[in-house]
Amino acid sequence: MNSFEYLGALNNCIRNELPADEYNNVMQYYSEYFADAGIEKEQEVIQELGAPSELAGRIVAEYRGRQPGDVKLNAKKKGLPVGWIIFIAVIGSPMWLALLCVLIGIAAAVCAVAVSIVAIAIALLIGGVVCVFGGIVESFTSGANGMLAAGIGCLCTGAGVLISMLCVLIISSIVKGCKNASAKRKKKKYAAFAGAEK
Amino acid sequence: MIFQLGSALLDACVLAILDRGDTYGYVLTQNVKEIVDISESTLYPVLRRLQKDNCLTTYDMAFQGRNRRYYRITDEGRKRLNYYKTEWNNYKNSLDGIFYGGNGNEQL
Repeated sequence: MNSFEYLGALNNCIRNELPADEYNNVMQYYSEYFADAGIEKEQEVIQELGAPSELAGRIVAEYRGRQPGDVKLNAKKKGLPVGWIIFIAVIGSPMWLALLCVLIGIAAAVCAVAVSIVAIAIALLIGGVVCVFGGIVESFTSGANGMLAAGIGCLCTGAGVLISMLCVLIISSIVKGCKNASAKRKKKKYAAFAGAEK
Repeated sequence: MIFQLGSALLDACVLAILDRGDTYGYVLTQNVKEIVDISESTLYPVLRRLQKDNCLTTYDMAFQGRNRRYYRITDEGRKRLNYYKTEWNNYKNSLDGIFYGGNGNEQL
């Protein structure tokens, strides 16, 4: 290693650890130092200064006003260590079960609501139609009552038809969505195959 | 030297050398190395600290097509140097008292 390489290595170690002016001061000091020591003393100086990373560590530690051992340069920041992840998973395991139960409960509730809406539609349809016919039959004996019943029947049937149409629309769109998704997956598969064959 | 050199003594050495005249990093280091065994990397932090405490100033002078940074002691630095000298005398006298059983000043 010559002084040029040494200063390059030192530069890499401290560039991101010090503010610009202090960084410039350090680099100027040591490049001057090498220049004044001269080429014949170059190796001697390098030996005495120690490894560039060690020198950088001392400089940065001094700058921050700490002991050299406290500062580690270029220490990579890792995510959670595996031990911690396992620890959290074990500690949190009762919670996972509870969360699963809650999710299942929510899904069941959604399904129940959907089923009940369908049931309401069917009930309205059947009830409405029966009511209309009943009303017509009733109107022969007492006109006003029969007409009222028939009217209510018509309302119910209409509502039933509307709700069932809505249900059919929603269900068909869900089915379509699923089909599209699976078709896309298939297409991708085929594309992959085609790519592999080429 | 078998005695440990604290940062105060090192500061005092640097200030004493600069009190004799301005100089630059390499010569300063060599001068200090003549007195005590220090590593070449010891002096930069010392100079930086003294500069931060206004004990010395720097100025650049061209030398063979490059800059050389010279260090000059300030009044504040001289004050501190005098303080160090007094403290050193006290310390030396008390040590001499133990070592030789007399007043260290006799040997000056």
